[in-house]
Amino acid sequence: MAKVMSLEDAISKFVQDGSTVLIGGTYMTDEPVAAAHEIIRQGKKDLTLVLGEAACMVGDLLIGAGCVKKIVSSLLGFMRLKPIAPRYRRAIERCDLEVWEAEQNHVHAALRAAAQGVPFMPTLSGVGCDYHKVNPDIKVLQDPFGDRTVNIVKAIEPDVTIVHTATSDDWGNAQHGGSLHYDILSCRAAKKVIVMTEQVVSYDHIRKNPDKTHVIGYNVAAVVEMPFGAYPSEGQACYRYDLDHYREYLRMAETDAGFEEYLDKYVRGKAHNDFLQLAAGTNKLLELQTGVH
Amino acid sequence: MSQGYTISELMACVFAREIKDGELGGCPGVRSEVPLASVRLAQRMHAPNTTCYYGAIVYNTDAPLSKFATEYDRIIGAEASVATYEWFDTLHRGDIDFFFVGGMQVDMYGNLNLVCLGDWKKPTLRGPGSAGLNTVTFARRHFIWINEHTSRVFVPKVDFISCPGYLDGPGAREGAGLRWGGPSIVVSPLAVMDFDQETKRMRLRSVHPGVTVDEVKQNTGFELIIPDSVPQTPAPSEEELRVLRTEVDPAGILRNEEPVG
Repeated sequence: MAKVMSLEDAISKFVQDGSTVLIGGTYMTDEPVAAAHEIIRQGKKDLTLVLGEAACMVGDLLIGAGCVKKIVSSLLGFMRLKPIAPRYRRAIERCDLEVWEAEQNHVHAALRAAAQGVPFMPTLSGVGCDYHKVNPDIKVLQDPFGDRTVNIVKAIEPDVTIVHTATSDDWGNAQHGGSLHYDILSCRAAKKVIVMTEQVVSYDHIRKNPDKTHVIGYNVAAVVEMPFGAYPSEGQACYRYDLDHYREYLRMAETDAGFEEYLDKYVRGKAHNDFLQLAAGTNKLLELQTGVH
Repeated sequence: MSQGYTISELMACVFAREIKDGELGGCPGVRSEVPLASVRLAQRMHAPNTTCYYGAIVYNTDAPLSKFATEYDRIIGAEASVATYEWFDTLHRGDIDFFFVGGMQVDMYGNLNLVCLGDWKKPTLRGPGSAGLNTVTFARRHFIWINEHTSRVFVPKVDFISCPGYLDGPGAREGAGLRWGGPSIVVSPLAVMDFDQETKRMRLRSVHPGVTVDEVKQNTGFELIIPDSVPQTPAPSEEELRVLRTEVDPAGILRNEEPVG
């Protein structure tokens, strides 16, 4: 079974209109940006977008481009650059986006349930708070064995999880360059996984450090080799993030017209390499690699 | 060395003095400069056996203070790196002694809101979301730090409880099923507040040098408990400033603002 394929094929085969799609990474690290661009180019819609952590640019782009019906996330912001993601904020204030309101660990609990094959997961997160009042998938439960109070969270099983890694073999055994975010859980909970990797390496290379393999090939459906695929976010152990480009995005995404202009300039009709050249250029990309290896 | 210090430096000193030796404390991953500086200052001043859990992924990292630390920056030189969800388990078990948290709104019982202003269904301002900062309430105590002390931020009742304080007063946390914890202090650019044991309402503990009690009252959107005598927040000592500036923050991240004292 050939799993190594183009990004275009991976998205067209495994992301359908209405799919539940989980995007890996954390904030501005290991964001599968190239995959988000491809989802936009293919005009996918009505997605339930699950952000394990807070893949900020990917989430904001997909929401702004109209691909997302419902967001499952505890946070969408650009850290110090802009605490509240602009297209996300606009969409919610216009009532154009369903929100699965949650604390981060509610998302974890929903994925843990899916990863373990149980219908829901208890957690202490949310006790005493307002989440269960606005989210029908979170309920308050009295402990049947004692006197505790917990929240229970309905399982979420993503149709597909998309993660960015430093390396992968052609079967999808993939290794992160640093922090694991919660990509392990995101992959175990999913029906299928798309691995977008900086470099496809040999089976023997992976087997030298099996303890570093946290994305496991058994449910990986596609392996896409995409150097700088996470740009402008940080690709751990490969390159730093490009704050200049994030700033440009945030300036443009402030208005509807500016956001459309951004998509025309960098996403629509552009291959990932075109985007890299337009947004950064070779010298800048080399500079971002400096001091990381 | 200039004795003029900034609000961020003062805040770092105030929090550091709250930390006891041997504690396990946590700093959030975003806006982490003041929390991280305070734990590191405490570790160097009086709490060498304190462990700092940072950004939900690492224990005791040497990563320099930075407004833009990447994930990869943080794990270099750390004692341990863990998957994000593990920190929730550690908090829920009650193993974490203190944690830092902020919000767009804070109310008289120390409840925090990062979700929205106005009605949740049609908010006038959508916030970033609560992130993992709800689970922080399962630390044995949490520190609230707020960068803007106005009646817009200090409100009678938050529009959405994303991180519970004392909810609506005495017994409410226990009634909701929260067995321990709660906010211990609130530090703003104007003052330090704590919570009255009986009423669980926010109380003025000290005003920062150069700030009056009236100024704090005018900028707070609810009635603060004001004790008969309100001391001044002790300014950073020479030793605290020396350690902060030479060991904790040599790059001057906390100094990159107007000095106040």
